[in-house]
Amino acid sequence: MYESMLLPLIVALPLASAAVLAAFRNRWPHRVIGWAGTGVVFVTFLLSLAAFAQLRGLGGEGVLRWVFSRWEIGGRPYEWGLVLDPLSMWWLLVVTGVGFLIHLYSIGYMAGDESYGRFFACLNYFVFAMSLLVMADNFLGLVMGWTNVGLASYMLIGFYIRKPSANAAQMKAYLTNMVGEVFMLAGIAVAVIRYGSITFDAVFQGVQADPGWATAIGLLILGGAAAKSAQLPLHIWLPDAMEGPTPVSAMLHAATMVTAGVYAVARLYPIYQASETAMTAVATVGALSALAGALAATRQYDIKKVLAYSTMSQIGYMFLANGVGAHGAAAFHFLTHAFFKAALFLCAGIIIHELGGQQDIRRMGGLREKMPFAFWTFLVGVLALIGLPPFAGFFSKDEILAAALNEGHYFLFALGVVAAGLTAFYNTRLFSLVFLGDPLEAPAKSGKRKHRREEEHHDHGHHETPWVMKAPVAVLAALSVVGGAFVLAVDPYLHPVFARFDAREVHVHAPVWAMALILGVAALGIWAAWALYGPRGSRRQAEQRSVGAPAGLLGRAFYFDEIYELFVYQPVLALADLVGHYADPRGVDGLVNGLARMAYGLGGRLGWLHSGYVRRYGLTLVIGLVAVLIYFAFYV
Amino acid sequence: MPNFAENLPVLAPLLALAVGALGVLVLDLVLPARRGYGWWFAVALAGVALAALYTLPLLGGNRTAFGGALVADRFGLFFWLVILAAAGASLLLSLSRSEEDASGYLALLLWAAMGMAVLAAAGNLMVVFLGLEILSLALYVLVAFAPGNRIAWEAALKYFLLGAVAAGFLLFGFALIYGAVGGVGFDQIADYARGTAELPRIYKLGVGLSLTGFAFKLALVPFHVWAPDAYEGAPTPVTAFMSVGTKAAAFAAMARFLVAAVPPQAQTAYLLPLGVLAALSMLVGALAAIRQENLKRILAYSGISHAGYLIMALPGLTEEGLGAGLFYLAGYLCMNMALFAGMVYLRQVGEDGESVASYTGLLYRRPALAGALALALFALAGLPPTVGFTGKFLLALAAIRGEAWLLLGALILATGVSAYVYLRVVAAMARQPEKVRRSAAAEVAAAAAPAAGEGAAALGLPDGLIRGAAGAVLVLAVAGMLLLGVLPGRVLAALTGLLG
Repeated sequence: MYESMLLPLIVALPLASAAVLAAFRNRWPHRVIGWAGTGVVFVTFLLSLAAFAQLRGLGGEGVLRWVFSRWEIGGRPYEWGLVLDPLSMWWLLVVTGVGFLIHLYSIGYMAGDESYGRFFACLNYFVFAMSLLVMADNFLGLVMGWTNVGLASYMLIGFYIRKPSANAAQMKAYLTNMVGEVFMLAGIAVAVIRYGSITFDAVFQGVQADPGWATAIGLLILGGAAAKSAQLPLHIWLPDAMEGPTPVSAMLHAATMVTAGVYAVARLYPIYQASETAMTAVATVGALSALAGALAATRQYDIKKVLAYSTMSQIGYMFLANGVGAHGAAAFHFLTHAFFKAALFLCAGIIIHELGGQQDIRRMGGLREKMPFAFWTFLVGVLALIGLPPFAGFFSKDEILAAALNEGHYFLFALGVVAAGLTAFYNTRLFSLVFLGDPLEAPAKSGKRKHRREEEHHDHGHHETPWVMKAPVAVLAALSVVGGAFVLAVDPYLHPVFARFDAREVHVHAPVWAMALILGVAALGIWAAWALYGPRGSRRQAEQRSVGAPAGLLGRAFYFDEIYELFVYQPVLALADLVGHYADPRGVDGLVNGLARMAYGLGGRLGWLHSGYVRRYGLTLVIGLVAVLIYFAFYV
Repeated sequence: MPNFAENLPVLAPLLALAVGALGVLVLDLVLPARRGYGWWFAVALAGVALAALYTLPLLGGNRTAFGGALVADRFGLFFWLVILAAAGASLLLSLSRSEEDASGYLALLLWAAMGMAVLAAAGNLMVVFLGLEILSLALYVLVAFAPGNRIAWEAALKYFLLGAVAAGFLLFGFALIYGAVGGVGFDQIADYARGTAELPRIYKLGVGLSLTGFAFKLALVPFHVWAPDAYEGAPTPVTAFMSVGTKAAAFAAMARFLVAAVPPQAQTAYLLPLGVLAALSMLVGALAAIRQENLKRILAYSGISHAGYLIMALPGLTEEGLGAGLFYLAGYLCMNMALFAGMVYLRQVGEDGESVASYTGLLYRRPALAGALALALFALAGLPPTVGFTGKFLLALAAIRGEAWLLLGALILATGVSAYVYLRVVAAMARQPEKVRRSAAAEVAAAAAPAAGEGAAALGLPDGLIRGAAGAVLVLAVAGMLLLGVLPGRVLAALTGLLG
C-alpha cells in the first residue's frame, strides 16, 4: 500500500481538460483546442509512466492507492478511491498511450469540423472515464467508471448529431449496454448483499467457499461485460457504432473501451475461478463470438464494418483466454490488439480521408500506388491481425489457443483455430480489395453521392494527409511489428495480481503440431481469399459490381438485428402502445386529471372567501375566532 | 429604575432605525427634494446598515434590557438580522420611486422594521403589542403608498379595518391573561402556566384570543383574508418587505408566547388549533393560488401556505423544530426577495412583471433573469437543490418528531398542488415566444409608455443604479438560496446553537 498523488492527478487532469475544452469550445481556435486536448493526454501518459516507475519501486505485492472519501452506512465502512496494481497499470498505460496517439491523429482528421471543440472535450472525457474504470478499487468505483465510459461512448458514436443513423446508433449502443448493466448491477448487488462489502477483496474472500453464488454473480457480471465488449449475444451495437468518427472507432470501439469487459473478468478472476460453470460460460461466449465475428467480417463491404466485426472476433479471443484461466494471455492480446487494430482503423481513416469520405471497399481497389504509406502500414496491421510470425498478433493469439488446448477445451480450441483461418480470409479479402488489383471505376468519381458515409466530412475529393495523422499510424504499425516482445514481460509482470487469490497456472506454450496447425489454417485462409478476391480472383469482379448493403446470413451477421427487432423491439413497442394508449390515459392520467380538476374547482370555490367585501372578510375572521374560542373554552 | 446606559447596546439597533427615519424626514425639510433625493435613500440604507452593525456584537450572549421587557437573546437577534436583511433589500428595490413624498415612505419603512424588531425581541405582552402596533400602523400607510392607485388605497383601508379588529382580539386576550396571571412578563406567565394545577378558563380564552391575533399577522386561514388584497395593492418592495418581515416578527413573538404560555403537560391540546389553522393555510393557500393570474397575488397566497409550513416548526416546541423554522425563514427571505427583485427589475426595463401572461417567453428574452426567477420558483415549490427543498425537509422532520401527522399530510398535499402554481409561471417563461410575440410585444409597449411618462418627472435616481440594485438583490438572494440548499448542515447547526 502506498498513497500516491499521481492517481487522482491521472483522473483529474483529463476531466478538468474536458470541462475547460467544453466551456471554451467555441472561443478558442481549433489549433489551441486540438493541441491542448492532446497535450493533456500526453501529460497523463507521462504521469502514468511515473506511476509505473513508482509501482515498480514498490516491487512484489505493492499497489498504489488513493482514497477520496470514507464513510459509514449502518455501521459498515465504505470507501471510494483509486488503486493501481500491475493489472490496472497494464490497461492504464494502453489507454493513455494509445489514447495520446489517437488524440494526435484527431488533430488532423477532425480539422475543419465545426464541432472540433466538442470532439476533443468528449475524447478527453473518455480518457478520464476509462482511467476511472481501470483504477477502481471496489465495485462502486467500477460501476462509476463503467457508466461514465458508456456515456462517453454514447456521445462519441453520435458525434455527428445531425445524422439520423448516428443518432440511432448511439441509442442502440447505449440501450444494449444498459441491458448488460442491469445484469451487471444485479450481480454486484448479489455480491454486496451476500458478502456485506463493496470491496473486491471481501467479495473474493467470500466466493472462495461459495461456488453456487460465485456462479450466479459471475454469470450476471458476464452479462455486463459481454455487452460492453460486444460479445454474443449483445454485440449488435458495435458495427453500428462505426457511425462515429474514425478516431473514435479506433480508440473506443477497438483499442480500449470495448476491452472493459475483458478487464472486468480479469479483475474479478477469483469469482470466475471459483465457479467452473462461469469459466466455461466466459470461454464459450468468447469462442463463439470469435467465430461469429470472423464469419460476419467475411461478407462486409464497409471497411469500418469489417474492422468492427474483426474487433468483436478478437475480443472473443480475449474472453476465451479469460475463460480458460489465461488472464495474462487476455491482457497480452488486449495490448497487441490495441496496437494493430488502432493502426488499422487509423489507416482506414487515412484512406477515407483521402478518398473524401468513401468507405465502401467495392469502390476502392488499386490504392497501392496512390497511398503507399497507408499500404505499408495497413499491410503490417493485417499481418499482425492474421497472426503471422513475427508480428505481434501471432504471439498473443498463439498463447490463447495454446491455453485452451492445454486446459483441455478441445472444442473451443477448434473453434478458435477455425476463426483464425477465417481471420486470415477476411483480412486478405479486405486488403486485396482495397489496395491491390484494379478499381472498378475511378474511385473519386464513382457513387460519390450514394455511398458517402461520413457526410459531415468537411469537403470532398482527394486530400493530403498531414504528419499528425501519419506519425501515430507509423508508431502503432511499428508496435504491431515488435509488440510480440511483450510476451516476455506480461506473465511475470501480472503474476503478483493473479497469485494473490491463487489463480490456476495455465501453460500458454503450444505444442509444435498445434502451432503448425494454426499457421496452416491461416495459410489456407489466405490462399482461399487470394483465389477468390485476389487481383485476378474469380469473385472479385462480381463483388466489385454488386451494389447495396451486404445480404445473406453472413452479410446480415446471422440476422441478429432482425431477431431482436422481431422478439424484443416489436413486443416492447406493442407494450408501450398498450400502456400509452390505454392504461396510462385512462388509468393513471384519469386519476391525476381527476385530482387536478378537483383542485382547480376548489381553487375557484375559494374565490368566495376573497370577494373583496370587507363585511365578508370580517365574518370569516369572526367565525375563526369563535371556533378557536369554543375550543379553548371547552376542550382544553 | 433601569439604567439607560446599561440598556443602550440592546436599544441601539432600534434607535438606529428610528433615528434613520427621522434623519430622512429632517433632510426632506432642510434640502429641496431635487437635491436631497438621493440622500434620503442613502440615509435610510445607512440606518439599516448601522442597525445591523449594532446587532452583530450582541450575538455573543443573551442580554435583556429594561427589566426583561426587551430580550435580545440569540433567537431574537436572528430575527433582527432577517428583518434587517428584508428591510435593506426592500429599500434597494424601492430606489425606483420618484414621488416627492418618498421621504415619508422611507421613514415608514424604517419604522415598520423597528416595530418588527421590537416584536421579535419582546419580553412581555405589552411590548408585543407595542411592536405590533408600530409595525402595523406603518404598514397600513405603506400599503397605500402608491400614488393614484385606488386598488392600493382600498387594500390599505381593508387591511386597516381588519387589522384593528385583530388588534382588538390580541389586546383582549392579553388582558384576560393578565387577569389570570397578574403580570405581563413572559417569565411570569411561564411560572404561572407551570405552577398552576388547574388553569382557569379565563386564561385559556386569553391564550385562544391571543393566538387568533398572531394568526392574523401571520395570515393563517381563516385570518388571512386581508393578505391577497394588501399584497397585490401595495408597492412591490413593500409587499416584499411585508411578506418576509411581518411573518418573521410575528412568528418570533408567537413562538416566545407559546413557549411561555403553553403548559408542557397540555402542549398537544393547546397547539391543536394552531395545527388546524396551519393545515388549512397550506391547503387554502395552495388551492386558491391555482387560478390567480397576478404573480403578486400568487405570492400572497404562497405566503399564506408558507405561514402554514412555518407552524410545522412548533409541535413539541423543541429546539430542533424551532431551528428548522428559523432555517426556513432564512430560506423564505431569499426566495421571496429573489422573486420581488425580479419583478422590480422587469418593471424597470419596461415589462409588466406582474401578470403571469407577461412572463411568456421570458426565457428567450432574458435567459439569465428567467433562470434566476425559475430557481426561486423551484425553491418555493420545494425542489432541490434549493433551500426550498432542504427547508421543507427539515420542517417535515420536525413535524415527524412532534408527531404532527395532520401537518405532515397537509404539507404533502399542499406541496403537490403548489408545484402546479409555481411551475405554471416557469412554463410560461419557457413557452416559445413565436406564438405570442404580438401580444407580448404589445404588452411591453403598453408597459413602457407609462414608464416613459414617469421618466419625465424631475425626481428619480439613475436608471442603471436602480437596475443594478435590483440585480444585486436578485443575485444575493439566489446565491443564498443555493448556499442554504446545498450546504444546510453548517447553517442549521449555527441556528440550533442560537437557541441554546
